Amino acid sequence: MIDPCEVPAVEAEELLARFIFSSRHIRKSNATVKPEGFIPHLAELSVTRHREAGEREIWDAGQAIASVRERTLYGRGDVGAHVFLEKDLSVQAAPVMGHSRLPDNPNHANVTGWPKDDKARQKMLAIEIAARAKFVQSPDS
Amino acid sequence: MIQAFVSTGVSGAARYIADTTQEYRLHMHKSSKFGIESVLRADLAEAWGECQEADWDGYGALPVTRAALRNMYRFLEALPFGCRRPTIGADPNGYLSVEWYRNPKRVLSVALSDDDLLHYAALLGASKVYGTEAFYGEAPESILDLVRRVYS
Repeated sequence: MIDPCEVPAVEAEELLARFIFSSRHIRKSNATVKPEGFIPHLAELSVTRHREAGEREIWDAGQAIASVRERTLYGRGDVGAHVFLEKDLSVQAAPVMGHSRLPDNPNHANVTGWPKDDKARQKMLAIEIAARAKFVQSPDS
Repeated sequence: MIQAFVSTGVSGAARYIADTTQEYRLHMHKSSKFGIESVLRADLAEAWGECQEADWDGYGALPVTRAALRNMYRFLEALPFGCRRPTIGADPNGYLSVEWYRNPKRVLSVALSDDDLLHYAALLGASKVYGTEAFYGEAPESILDLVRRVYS
């Protein structure tokens, strides 16, 4: 994982993981991520950077969140940072360290710049992002 | 697909036809062959069961309310016979949604908010269409047209 003391800015060529904790966000027909999996609840979409992380470390990060939130980790949607940037969204490194209710995750990042109060446009962006995401099923599910 | 009958007339005859058509449509929707009852109702109930508590997505999502469930049921009942069957989803705002999906580049998603607004977005090859329509008990023609375009 990234050294929390030296967290680099997110680069366009990085791969980002969006953990999926709801089966409603996966299409059963072909195991792809639905757009709703990429719609932010508030202003930010939480993702985890693959940078300097092995496959097992990525899953451990997701599983740690699942444990704290008492949810099932179904998988993750992997998508390049450039996909968000092409949509005029921003991806900012936001390491989680020493949080009282969240596990440490130096690879955490937030996708920001979502259109405010325009649910239809948010949905449009989410459809386009989901279309380019690759679903990876959790080895533990 | 057979288009739902919409009447804006105010005469007794127009009202009779509208009421009869609505009754017939509801009756047909209860049929396992034509209606939404068989699979979609179960899927809708399942979605609500999974999403009725806060944080159901692990990211702080709002719960899907009974009102949202009721509204989506009304929307599904308003779909014309023969309409392709969507799948049920939910978004973090606590809205239930429906999706018509052919492939990643031909997809329509519609969410219905508690204040009777349909927020929709469609990817149709190279074309993008999105917007908001009020839901007055009839499926808007603009959305039905997008359903057709997903599969055309």
